[in-house]
Amino acid sequence: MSEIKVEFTLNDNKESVVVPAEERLLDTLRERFDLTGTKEGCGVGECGACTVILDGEAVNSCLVPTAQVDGRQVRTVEGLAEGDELDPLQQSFIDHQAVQCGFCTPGMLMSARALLDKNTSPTEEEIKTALDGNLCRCTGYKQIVDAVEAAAKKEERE
Amino acid sequence: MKKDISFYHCEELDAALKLLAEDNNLKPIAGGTDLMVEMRNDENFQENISGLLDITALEELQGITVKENHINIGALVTHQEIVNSEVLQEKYSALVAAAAAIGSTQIRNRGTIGGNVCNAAACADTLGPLIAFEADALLESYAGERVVPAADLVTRPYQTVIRDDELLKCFRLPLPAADTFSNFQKIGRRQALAITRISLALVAQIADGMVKQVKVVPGSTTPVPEPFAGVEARIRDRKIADLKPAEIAAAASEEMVSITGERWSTPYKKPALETLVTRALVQLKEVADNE
Repeated sequence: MSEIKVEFTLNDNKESVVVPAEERLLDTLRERFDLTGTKEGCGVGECGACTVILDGEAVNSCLVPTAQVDGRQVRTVEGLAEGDELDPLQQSFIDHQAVQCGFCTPGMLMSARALLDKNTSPTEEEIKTALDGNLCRCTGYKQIVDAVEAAAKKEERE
Repeated sequence: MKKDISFYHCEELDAALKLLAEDNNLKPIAGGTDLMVEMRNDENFQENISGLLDITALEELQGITVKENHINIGALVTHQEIVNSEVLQEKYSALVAAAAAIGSTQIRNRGTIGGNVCNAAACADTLGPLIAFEADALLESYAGERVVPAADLVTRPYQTVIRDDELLKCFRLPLPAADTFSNFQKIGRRQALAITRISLALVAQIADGMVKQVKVVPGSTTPVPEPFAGVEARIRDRKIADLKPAEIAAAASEEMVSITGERWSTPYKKPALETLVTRALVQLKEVADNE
């Protein structure tokens, strides 16, 4: 049985896991770490529900073999809030009613987080580009874009 | 139960090439945006390989480097790195536009130019511009290096001349002449995450209101992207003001049919290609007018 030992940082914690070569980061997060906030939608990199932040970049965790994240930093939606305090993006999604069924929300949040970590005052167009790999089938995108815009403004003020 | 496969992570190019020389069933993996989908969709994928070779740490395959007469784009350069590169924006805007039109932010963050070309889908967006800019591909194996023009890399859809023991190291693009216009056009079903239905790369060297050199490479129109020599002949050594976009566009769709024959998709592709050729030429004329 060929198994690969992978050591990586997951939401600021050092973790170690042994996985088969083909295991997807998505499955490792959900099945081995019970981090079920990361969702599987399409499984082929089109819907963005499985988006996590890998070394600062938004990626589809369904397309990343876990064996490739050795030595790297992974952040999931569970790593956004600090204790009971929500990330400004999470609060803003609530305030702007940018959540309906919620399935796409973790991916939306991670794409938006990756954007705001690099660009503190994005334009509407930049927000839309950052979210272009995240599909929502019920809320509609306006509230989501509004929520990201408001969170960016709030973070800039603070 | 799927077959066990191994996973190698190499830090040194030599070590990676040695592994490939010893085992030609090893599959190199970089961004994984095509490969992971293939592994999921093809039940037999794992049966047919011995393992994955993670090449993401190989320094020789990374980065965009400017040399005296050319620019090297490493095979591992992601689409997003191409989009962000100031030097590529300035000199190879058609390539930047092609990379920007690929997939989504998540895909552009992981997908590489090397993977886009090696996967060799007929709709691969970056190959057309690479051919239009007359790029060469540097291939390396444990036995040595060879250079293949980008135009000769792909032999048919999903098939390249790259051997199982070789890695694509980088693309070498000659520096374009000062007054070079380049343009990329694409039709997809929607703006984001759209597989290209049809695309076009046009690179023209302009001097004194004339087109000196020109490359016109449509994508997704022929089994493998190739320069349309007949179209180029109608543009080269002509005054830009005299170019008639509609006539040249009609010649382009005729040239396409002469390569592919009449297919079920031809009634769509003819007007679509004509539109892209017209759009690119209109932009060329606008740029020339403003000079």
